[in-house]
Amino acid sequence: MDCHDCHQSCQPKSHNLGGKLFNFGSKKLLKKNFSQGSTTTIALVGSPNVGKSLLFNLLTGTYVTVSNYPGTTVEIAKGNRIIGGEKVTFLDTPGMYSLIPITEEENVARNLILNQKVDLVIHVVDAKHLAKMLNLTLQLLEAKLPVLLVVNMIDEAKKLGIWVDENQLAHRLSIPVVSMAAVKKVGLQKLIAKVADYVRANSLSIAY
Amino acid sequence: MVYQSFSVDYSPLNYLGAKTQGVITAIRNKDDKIVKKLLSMGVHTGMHITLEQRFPSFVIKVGQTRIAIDKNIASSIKVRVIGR
Amino acid sequence: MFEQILYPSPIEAAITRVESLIGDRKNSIPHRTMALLLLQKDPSLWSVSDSDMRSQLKQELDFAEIESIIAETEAAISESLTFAIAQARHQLAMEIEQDVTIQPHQQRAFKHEWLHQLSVHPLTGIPILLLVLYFGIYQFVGVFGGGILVDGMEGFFESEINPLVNTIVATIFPWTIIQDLFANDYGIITLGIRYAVAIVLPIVTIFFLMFSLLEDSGYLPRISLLVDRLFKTIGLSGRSIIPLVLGLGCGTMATLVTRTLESKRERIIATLLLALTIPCSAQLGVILGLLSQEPAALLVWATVMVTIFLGIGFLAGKIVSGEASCFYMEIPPLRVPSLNAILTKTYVRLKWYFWEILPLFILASVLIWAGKLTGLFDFIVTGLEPVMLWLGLPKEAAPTFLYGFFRRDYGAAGMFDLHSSGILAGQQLVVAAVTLTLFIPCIAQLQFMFKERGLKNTIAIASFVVFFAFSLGYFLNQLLTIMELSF
Repeated sequence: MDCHDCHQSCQPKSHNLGGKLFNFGSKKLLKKNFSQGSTTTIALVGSPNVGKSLLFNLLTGTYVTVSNYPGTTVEIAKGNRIIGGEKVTFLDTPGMYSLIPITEEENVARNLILNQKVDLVIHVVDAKHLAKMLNLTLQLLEAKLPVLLVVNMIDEAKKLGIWVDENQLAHRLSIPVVSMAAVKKVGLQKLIAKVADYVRANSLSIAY
Repeated sequence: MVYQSFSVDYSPLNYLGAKTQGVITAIRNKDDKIVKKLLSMGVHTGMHITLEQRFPSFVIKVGQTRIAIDKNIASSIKVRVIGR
Repeated sequence: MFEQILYPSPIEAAITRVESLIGDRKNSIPHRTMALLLLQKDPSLWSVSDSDMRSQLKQELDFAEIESIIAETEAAISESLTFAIAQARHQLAMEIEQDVTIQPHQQRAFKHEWLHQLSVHPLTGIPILLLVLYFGIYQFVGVFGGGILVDGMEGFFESEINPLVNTIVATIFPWTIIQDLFANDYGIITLGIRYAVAIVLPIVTIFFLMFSLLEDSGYLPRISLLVDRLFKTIGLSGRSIIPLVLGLGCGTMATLVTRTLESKRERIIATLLLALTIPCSAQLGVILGLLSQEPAALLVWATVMVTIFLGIGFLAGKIVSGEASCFYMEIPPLRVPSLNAILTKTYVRLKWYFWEILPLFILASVLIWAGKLTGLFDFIVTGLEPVMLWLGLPKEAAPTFLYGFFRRDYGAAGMFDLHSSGILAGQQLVVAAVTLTLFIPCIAQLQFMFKERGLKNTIAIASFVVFFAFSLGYFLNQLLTIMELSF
């Protein structure tokens, strides 16, 4: 994990940002900074305190500076796992509440998913605050990004008497949804299977 | 043109006492960023709000979320009081 | 595919107009998204600081036109566009939630509610904060980590490892020059690795354990909430307490974390305070360990540091320009953290820290060796000696300040050596502790300051810090002499 490299590459200065977003000048700007050497790049996004970094650890076995509370994860961490026979690169991003960045760390996450051309965005949400979290999901979908929704902390939600129908949610949003309790590794296999489905479909569409 | 409306029903949060409950009727601030922040944290009009504490910071509970804000941000949340 | 959110018709009309302005420019982002971002005045699209880019953007995109579209639409819906767009999205999100979840009829109270109330009520929260700082930082990190653990490991190194290393190195290399590189007073193993492993490692480990505990229990945001008003007077917001507390562990890591602060102004002030007043854990541990034997000395040190923190913060808040910071923070429920998570975090931070510092410790040893060999080191030390005398310190303290530049904790560790050999005592100890705490941040922190804040700010902060540290040391020494305080 090389944090310093990430830091430089995913924090474009404001003046070349316009260039990045509008694709002015060099076309190389849009090249996949993160996906060299692997076929699929997946970014984990979500607001602070939803268990994103923990999920990243479970998926990649890499320990990043995990943080459940705002203000301590600032770098983008990178880790790999072989899924569906392919090397998949996972990126853990600083917490973000909305697609419109307010702090610099949110800007890091936003630019990563909008400019770096990630293949799949896994949006991790807290089952206890679904409506609040769906705001970002809707924004991601509006940006036509491929999204997989992880409804995390279902164990805590159940204790509060909140039940989430993942099939109904998947139907409403037309995207794959996995409910999880990452702390207890509940739903991890299902998530990996869904990612494998995606990886397979993706490599097929490239091959033909 | 300066136009100010004032109504007892809709008061800025920073004028209310601790433990006041109400419904958010508007979120307004000169600074657009503050409005964006509140929206992104799940504070919307029509939601039920409880002002839990005023000092040292304002603490509000909206839905299942508890948020600490300063006076300036508190003043941008307009509330129709429904009880204490 | 997911159907697009349909916004109220005036907004949809505005979206279409902006989309047509974007035209058929090739883009990685869908036009609708782009139009929505522009209508919501996305900061990174609107505030293009570079003037060339600005004019280029103006050619490409008619910002004035978008501006007028926003104004017209806002007049039509009599609401801010950002607000209306978010509200529409929120409506849909609420609707979906209703559709796919079963919510409890009655909202359950938060867990550990009474503890939360105690922790944020000013009457109970501030005493609790002070207790946490006293036991968590002073007793646990300072006394236990910096005192008991360091004494044990340092003693072990001095009595067992160093003589062994010296003997082995002497048998392998017959030349004194090479021997000095690895062993003896300033060798890589006997000085560099000893400082890193025996003095810095135990203290930093204990600190990171403590910090992870505070973080995982959800207590940190509550500290922010309690200090926000106070911090507003020094140009910061409650949010800044997180990097500042982390700075008590490692200033380098904390400088990196200042990126989470909202405004540029807040980031500069926090970086300055981190560089000037916040001692890192190794430094803190050594200083607390040394001064705790003299409660009066500790009190003077603490008073001076707090006064400078508030005073410089207050002045910086007046001088550094920029918008006043605002404060908002989600307060997560308090919970009993899992031991596993705490240990993992501590391990990860420690790993980062250790790989960050070990090369610098080794580098410092090599540089000192090379400096001694070429006479450059003696030259700088000789230059620093008058400054030491000016501060009322023995001239033997000069090398300590020079090491302090490589790692602040390295300097503090050097002070530990000076004290144990009886060279530094009483008033000198206080002056040295204050000056070293204020003195320039270590090489790694300087490097991160440069990366995060840019060259201009780094030079400004660093030169201020050096000037301020020595001047204050001088005045403190004069003051203590006049007041005839003895420790």
